[in-house]
Amino acid sequence: MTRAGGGQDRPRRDGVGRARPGFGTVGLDRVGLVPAALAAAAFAWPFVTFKPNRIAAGRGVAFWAALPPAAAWGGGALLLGLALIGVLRLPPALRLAAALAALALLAVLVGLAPAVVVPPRQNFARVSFAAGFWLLVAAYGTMAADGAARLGLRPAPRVALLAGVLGVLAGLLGSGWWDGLSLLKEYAAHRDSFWAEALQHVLLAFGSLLAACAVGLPLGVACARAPRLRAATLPVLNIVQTVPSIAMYGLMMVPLGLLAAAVPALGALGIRGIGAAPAALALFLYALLPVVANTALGLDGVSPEAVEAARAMGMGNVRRLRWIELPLAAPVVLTGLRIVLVQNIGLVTVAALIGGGGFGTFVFQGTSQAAIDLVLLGAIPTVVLAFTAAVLLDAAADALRRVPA
Amino acid sequence: MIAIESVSRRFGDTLAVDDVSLTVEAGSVTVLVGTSGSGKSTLLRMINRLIPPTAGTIRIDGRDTAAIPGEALRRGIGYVIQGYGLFPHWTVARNIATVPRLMGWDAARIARRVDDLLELFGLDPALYAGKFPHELSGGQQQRVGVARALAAEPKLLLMDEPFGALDPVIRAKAQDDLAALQRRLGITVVLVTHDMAEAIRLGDRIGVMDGGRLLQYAPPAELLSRPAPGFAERLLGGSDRPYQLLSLQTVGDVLQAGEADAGRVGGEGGGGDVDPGVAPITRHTNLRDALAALLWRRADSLPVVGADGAPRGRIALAEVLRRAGPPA
Ligand SMILES: Nc1ncnc2c1ncn2[C@@H]1O[C@H](COP(=O)(O)OP(=O)(O)O)[C@@H](O)[C@H]1O
Ligand SMILES: [Mg+2]
Repeated sequence: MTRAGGGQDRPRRDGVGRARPGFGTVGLDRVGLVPAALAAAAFAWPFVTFKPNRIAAGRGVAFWAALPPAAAWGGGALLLGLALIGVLRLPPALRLAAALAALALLAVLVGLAPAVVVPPRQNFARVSFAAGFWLLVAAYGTMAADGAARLGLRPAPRVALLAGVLGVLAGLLGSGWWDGLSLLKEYAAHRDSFWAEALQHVLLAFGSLLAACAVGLPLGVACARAPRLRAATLPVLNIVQTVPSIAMYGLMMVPLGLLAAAVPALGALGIRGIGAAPAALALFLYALLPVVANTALGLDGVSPEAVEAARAMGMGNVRRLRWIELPLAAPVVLTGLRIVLVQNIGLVTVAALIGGGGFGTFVFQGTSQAAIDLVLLGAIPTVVLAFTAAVLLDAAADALRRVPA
Repeated sequence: MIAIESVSRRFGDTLAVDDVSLTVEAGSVTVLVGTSGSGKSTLLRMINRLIPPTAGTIRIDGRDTAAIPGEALRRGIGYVIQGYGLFPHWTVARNIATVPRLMGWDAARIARRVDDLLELFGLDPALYAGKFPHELSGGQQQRVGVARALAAEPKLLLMDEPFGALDPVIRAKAQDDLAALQRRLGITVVLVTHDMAEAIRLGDRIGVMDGGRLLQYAPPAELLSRPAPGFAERLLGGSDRPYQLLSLQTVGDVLQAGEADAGRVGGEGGGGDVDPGVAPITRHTNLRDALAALLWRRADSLPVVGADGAPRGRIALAEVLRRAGPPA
């Protein structure tokens, strides 16, 4: 018996498809060229800045002069070699590993600089990161982000990778390797207030997010159900978003100040025209739009057939919301929460202006004292915090999309 | 039994259903057929009060549905829609378990019921219980949709274009499966479709709707031979009617004793079991297929065999043709 159909005599197609170059045919990667060029150019800029004291004018020191000769030549060659991996068309995992290795190497190298750059017995001298260092961080950071994106990691490995990077950073800071750097000297001088401001920063960012969820989720559900309410609510929240943060904090001061004056009991609770209360209120208002809009949007996206089937099987409104609609809307809602959290972590910085506390305290102190490293002491943790929040919430949203609960 | 009494439904200015009355016998299949926008879905959804009527009453087994709390009413009535509305974030097993969970069955009973239903619908529980809807083919999704609707053993099943998303081959199979299932369980089915062939194939009674009105409500044979003038007649389409009429009758109705003159069986050809060249004719073959066999083999009559292959008599072309038109 002969079987019809071309199943057997179709040509094998194993070799067809995206070409997977072997090592003999490694090509150039256009996207990888940019960070590599950046890394190479970085060596033309000063690696660190040397200042005789905290506020004196600085002098740039090149990479080769800032490190012990062996470390400079060995480290420099290694850094350039790792950049080369980004230029070649190699598997993304290799690119990511090379970029992370380069960042770690950079962190170790810069810790060597103070001992080389600072002459003996100059106790007030400061060594700060300079343009060349930042360019290298940007170059390998870009390469790492590019590698991670191309790798398309699943949520759990992504979080594990983040935890690893943060762990290495914490180990480096804890070991005292960087203690000679000006940034860490600023930290030592502000050790006590640093952790209090950190807690305040996190409390303000998360507290306003929780409050926005408590109000925004039900409001979002209501908006999805009632088009008229939505038409009235969203434009107002949109306008709120456009108020500049400094103006918003100022606007909050007046009503809260009047309120505290009228009701002394509130003042006793810490609700005053300045401080954390107006900051929290302003952040809450900023957070409302993403929460409400994304909740409504997420519910819009739930398949009408699923909703009809749920109703037809005798699910009540509350059950339907909890069992069907909210779980299906969750990825979009989480995307909204991510926007809010990252936005709030940044905005809390400005809250320091009205006495709200947080890392912004160091930024503004540093600005007024012309102490750039104190500014960094406020700015770097803010960036790390925002980045961590973004990665965690992205991973959560992705996990919900991939593995339906 | 469902008694629909002078029911209407208005949406703003549109009268989606206009004073419809009809009775659905328990254990029968009723098909509502009509063009898009004729009010079929609205009428169907009024039976389980997804949409409350603006006028009229609907009784199920004598009870006015308006007097039963909506959620309790709907939990007792199966419902299947085009696209199935499976919950994409729940496994097949969890989807099927929806109504039993709502009714508070214990976990062991739910698990047993889910397994039984999967078996009934030809889906191996070990393989399919843990899959998500997007991992299933269209035909499998359709079966899960029906299984879910039947999970709490309702006596009434409402279906809104349940086969609309299937390709023709799978659709025919799904229609046969539904007919077999309905006979086996003895449930009452109300099904909505715009496909007249489907209505004739499945319906014990067919309701033809247009512009919210019920134009005719009759068994398929009556509908074919005496369609209400105007829309119902047009909906039936001119040229297909003799064949559809034949498809409602079986060889058993016209079986004659004796030998066929042209008993030649089979020619060349593939193995499809509907091939008019080789398929054996039994008393359950419908007359449409029998006619095809007679024409294809250029025979005036053909032998009829039993399930065992032994001769049972003959079928004559002239007799088939006599039954292809309305009774004289
Ligand atoms: N929820 C609704 N709101 C407003 N109009 C509706 C609604 N549902 C149906 N209609 C209108 O009622 C008429 C009948 O619709 P439907 O029962 O869905 O028809 P069919 O199922 O026969 O296609 C149509 O004109 C449709 O636009
Ligand atoms: Mg419809």
